[in-house]
Amino acid sequence: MTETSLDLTQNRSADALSKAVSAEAEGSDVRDFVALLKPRVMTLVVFTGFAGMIAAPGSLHPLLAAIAVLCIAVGAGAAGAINMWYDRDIDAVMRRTVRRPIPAGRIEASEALTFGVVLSVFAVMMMGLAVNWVAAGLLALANVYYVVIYTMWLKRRTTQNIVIGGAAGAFPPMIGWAAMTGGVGIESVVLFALIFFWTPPHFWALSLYMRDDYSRAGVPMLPVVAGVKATKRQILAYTLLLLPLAPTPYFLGFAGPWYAAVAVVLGALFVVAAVRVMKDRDPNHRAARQMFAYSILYLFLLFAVLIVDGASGALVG
Amino acid sequence: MTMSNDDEFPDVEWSDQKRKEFRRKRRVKNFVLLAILAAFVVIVYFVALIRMGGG
Repeated sequence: MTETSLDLTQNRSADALSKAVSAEAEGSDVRDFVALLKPRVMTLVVFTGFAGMIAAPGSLHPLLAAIAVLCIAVGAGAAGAINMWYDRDIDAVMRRTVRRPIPAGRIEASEALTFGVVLSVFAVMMMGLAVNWVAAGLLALANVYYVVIYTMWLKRRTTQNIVIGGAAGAFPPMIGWAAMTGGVGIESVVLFALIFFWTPPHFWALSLYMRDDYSRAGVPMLPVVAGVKATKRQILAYTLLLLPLAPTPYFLGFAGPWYAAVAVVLGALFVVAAVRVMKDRDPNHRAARQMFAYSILYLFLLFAVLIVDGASGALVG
Repeated sequence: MTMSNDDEFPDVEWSDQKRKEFRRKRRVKNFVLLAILAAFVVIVYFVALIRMGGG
């Protein structure tokens, strides 16, 4: 190492140390720790995990079921905190993430890492002791997948980062199913596949209008590397794949005809949204923004119907 | 041994208001941590009851 680079490294370390001291002295708020858990992402994770539990056959003591939901939420939040620790350098240069607690200097990086690891271990152990070890194993796998496979390995290396990495977000209904049944069936694999194929159009719609941000941070999102046109084609392809996949729970017998009807209508609207994105020439990517918002509504409604369907089935049954 | 925040962060210039705010936030965090630990104990207690009772 040359003397100049050593000086630079020392200056950066000194800067980092002084920033950390100042951040700690400013005093992080409880809200900053809540923000580390990515509460908005957690909401959807909890919701899909709960849907997996309701759709599954079998029964569980209500308190243990509540603990299973809590463990899924805490596990997902913990993975989010570790993700923020690892991505603090790129978060600091992206408009969307610059106000997060670590780049904003409100929480020290090591504090966020400790927080995430402790919560993750707590969630997995609690799930194992209170519910069952299959669900605990899946929760641990989901966390390791999100942190190591997606965040550390794929995110900065390949345009397929969110396709392969998206599997991490697809685990919750499978964990919910395992919590109820103690196993992994074809039904829970279908629920997993639903979120897996939903993730690319969801994230690529976002990355279309956040392209400059990702480019500045050096994250090889599809629109940055392959271009806008190729991304729009891929978005349409995934929505077309999702269209026949979404009603599968009905054909497998763990959802009713209402679910199938809603899945077809929502899926058709998702395809329409993708076609609108294909045709859109607006420099502000208005159609992509609308599609991103709709994609969240799509998943929320799909799993809401699954919950209502499962709950009414349980009541009638 | 009790440390003041001045001892913990000697590089920081402390005003009365900054010290007060720092202590307030630390107190809130400590209470939240206490509540979480208490909740954890309660959860483990009831889980043990249910599991041992075969529920």
